[in-house]
Amino acid sequence: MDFESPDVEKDFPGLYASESGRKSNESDFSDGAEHEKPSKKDLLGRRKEKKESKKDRGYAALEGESSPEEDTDTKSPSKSKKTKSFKFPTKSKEKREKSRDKEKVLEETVKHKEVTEKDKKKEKEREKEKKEKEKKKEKDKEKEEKAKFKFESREKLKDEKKEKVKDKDKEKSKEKEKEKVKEKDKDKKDKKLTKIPSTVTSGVPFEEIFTLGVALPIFGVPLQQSVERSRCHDDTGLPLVVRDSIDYLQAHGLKSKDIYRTEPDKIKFQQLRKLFTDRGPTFPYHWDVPVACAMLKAFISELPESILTQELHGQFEQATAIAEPQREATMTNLINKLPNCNHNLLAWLMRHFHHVVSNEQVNQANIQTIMAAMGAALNMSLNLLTYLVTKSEKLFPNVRLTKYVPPLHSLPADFPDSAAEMSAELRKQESLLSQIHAEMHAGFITAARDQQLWEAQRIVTQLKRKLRSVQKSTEPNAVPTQQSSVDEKQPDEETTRGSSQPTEAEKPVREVERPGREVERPVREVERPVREVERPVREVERPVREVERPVREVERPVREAEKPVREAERPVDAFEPKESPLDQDATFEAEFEDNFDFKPDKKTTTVETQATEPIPDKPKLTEKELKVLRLELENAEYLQLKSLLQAKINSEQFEIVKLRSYVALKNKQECNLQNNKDAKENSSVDEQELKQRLMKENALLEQKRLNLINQIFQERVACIQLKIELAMKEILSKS
Amino acid sequence: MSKKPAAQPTLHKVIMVGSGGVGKSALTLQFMYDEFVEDYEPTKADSYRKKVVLDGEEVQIDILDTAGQEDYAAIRDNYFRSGEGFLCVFSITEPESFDATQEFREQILRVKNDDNIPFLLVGNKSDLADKRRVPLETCRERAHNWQVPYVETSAKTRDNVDKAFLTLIRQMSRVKRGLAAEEDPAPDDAGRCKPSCCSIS
Repeated sequence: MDFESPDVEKDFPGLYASESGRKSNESDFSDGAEHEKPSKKDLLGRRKEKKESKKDRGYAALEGESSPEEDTDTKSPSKSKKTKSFKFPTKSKEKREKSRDKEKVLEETVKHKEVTEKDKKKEKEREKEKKEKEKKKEKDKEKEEKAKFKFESREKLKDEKKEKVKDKDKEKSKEKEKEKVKEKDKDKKDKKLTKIPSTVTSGVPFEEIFTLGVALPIFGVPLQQSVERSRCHDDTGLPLVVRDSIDYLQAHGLKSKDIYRTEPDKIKFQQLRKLFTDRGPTFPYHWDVPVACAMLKAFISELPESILTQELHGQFEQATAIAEPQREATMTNLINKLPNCNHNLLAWLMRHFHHVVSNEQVNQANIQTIMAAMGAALNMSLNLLTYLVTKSEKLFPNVRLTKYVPPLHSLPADFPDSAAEMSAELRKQESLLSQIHAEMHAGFITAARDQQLWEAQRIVTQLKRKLRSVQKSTEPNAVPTQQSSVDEKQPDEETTRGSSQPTEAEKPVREVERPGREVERPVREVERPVREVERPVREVERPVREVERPVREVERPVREAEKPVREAERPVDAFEPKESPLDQDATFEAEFEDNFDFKPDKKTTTVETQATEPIPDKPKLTEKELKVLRLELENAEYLQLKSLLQAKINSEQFEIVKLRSYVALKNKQECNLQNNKDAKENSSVDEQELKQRLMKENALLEQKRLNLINQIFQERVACIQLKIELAMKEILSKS
Repeated sequence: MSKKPAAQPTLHKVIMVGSGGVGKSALTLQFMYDEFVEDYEPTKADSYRKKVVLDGEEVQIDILDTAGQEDYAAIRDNYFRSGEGFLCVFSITEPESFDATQEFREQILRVKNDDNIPFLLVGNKSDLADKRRVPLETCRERAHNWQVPYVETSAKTRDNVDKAFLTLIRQMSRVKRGLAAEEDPAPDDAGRCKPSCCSIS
């Protein structure tokens, strides 16, 4: 027995260290205190003894240096109650079951107590005499216990002791007593542990801080929960830990050779982690590069599920094996399937890694470095990680790594008046508010949080008022600006496009647009005053109809005028989807030819791009393949457009049915009213004027609408062409 | 002890309660900015801060305008706890809103667990006297039962708006100064004073 434990330790050298490390930060201390013991214990015994030793430490500390600490412990009522009610029944049951096996263990623990409190020499003597003098030891034990705890059942123990001297069988009951004592010890230990953080975050009420961090943890919970509990209040939907870590690394880590390489300072790391758990504020001195890396790693590795989610993870890995043109599509597809929060986290990480890797010359960190540091946490293969990182810009085009600006604590007097900034801040504040509410509903109510709540609410109110006043002041201007923007649409569009994408791909688009424009121009000239975009036209139309309603006679002709338009409109809508994409393509190419010498131009451009880009890399793609690829892309685009338009047609048809039934109803009513009609017509000189004017206006409006629909149609086609061009370029540049 | 130096004026937290559409926001906005908004837009929650000179002492008041609609009750509850004074508003043209005050009162007493919490019963829309459907006597009776002052206001004409707020703030600062001896008779005084206010309106 004496010789067992060293063997155990040889076989499992990390066993005890890791256990104690998990238990507390003070593991060094406990190791030291234990030094003498191991030789005498079997495995079970050792564990026991470990716990005991720690408890002893707790006592020693409590007795010797800091009895006030103990006071504070007992004063935090909820804590002690919770732990007691928790641990007492289960632990004691287990122990009772095993009590017989553990007799010797217990004896040893007793000895250990003696060690901590009496001379080590005496202890050694006792060890030698141990087996012979069990009874004496038990007495000692009891004495210690009494001295330490002033246990209420001291007298009982005494009685038991006497009995035990006579009868060894009664040891069991005594052990039970001891177990109770142990449990108390544990309680105290727990309290001690919890107190450590409280000193770290001094100034904030310990109870509140502790329970919020424990009850609503942000590490080791599903990502969604973590985001809900501690999120960035802008729209990124990232947990604050992740955002802050990435922000820090982006700002200070990209040029550092420590990035994803150096182990962090443990204490600093724990401190920062604690701050995040407790939702405390962090300051620059809490951070350094290794700590930020470790924080990211810890957060990710503690997620219960893969970032790529259980269902999709395998598919992601499989997708790495696909050949290129399809791989990106598959990946994009998979990425789009990810839940929002996973998508955001993945996007930010990959974009960030991309930044790290692209600074390799300075920080000497490449994908292997990142893999070594984060691979296990991410649980991704090197292939997948490499792919995601290198393609991160294409896979997550909408993600920009911007520094997080937390919601303001108070609204400065010079807060910008722009509606955009106000509504951005408003969204942040509302997000903050809802988080505060959620925390309060979870039962975490403190004066500080109350204050925060009122403040956030006040800022929200202020912002809303400001925003409203800004909107009011701009509203009168809004209409004219909109109109002018419509009028100036043509030059505007051309300049913006010209400046933003002066590519060859753009040429065809402009050319396609032109015919539409030409048709449109005269209309525009005629109609300047009434000019508006398509939707407003409809709105104009309806009120007109409503005006007509009272004037029954006017309505019918107008309606009749309307109907053909409607019918004319339908074919336009229906026209597109019915055609197979390929056919349509042909018609457009024909159109290009008709208007301008576009086709040859296009051909030369494709040939050019082919000549310049792919040939040095891969002469593999022949023109035929290119054509097929283009057609495939077009096909996809048009199919999408088709379904979209189909949906619109459906809703239009529904509207038509509705209006027809309405007309039928009205007609019936009119029949009833027709007797009065004659009388009305007498006084209808003015009305007829009105009628004619309205008819004219309606005709004009309808014509305009048709033109606009045409224009939209053309634009859409142009858009598709542009998209295809872009996709083609991408593919070409890749391959 | 009772009066703090100018550096940080005493802060009083007032909460507006009452059913939807009785004019809580209108009262608040009238008090805060002297404005009356005609169009009705249900409030979720809004908070305002204003400095007021009360009996020669500058105090700061936070006004929380809560939602009348039950949809936002969960949000409202979080605020009740931190409120120090309550303006319980109903519309004299709407008996249902008057009935609802009973529930609000109970809820507040439950949350605050204090019968002497500064509290004011406010009958709003006194400008619509011709549409009045809650008799003045009934209102006064309820206020008397609760031992709270009753004020009739019009957010539209600004009638008694300041009075309602200032009465409440006075109560609050009295409670805060811990003048317990004075505090018990005080609400009664105010209560007696209020009916006269009503008759003015």
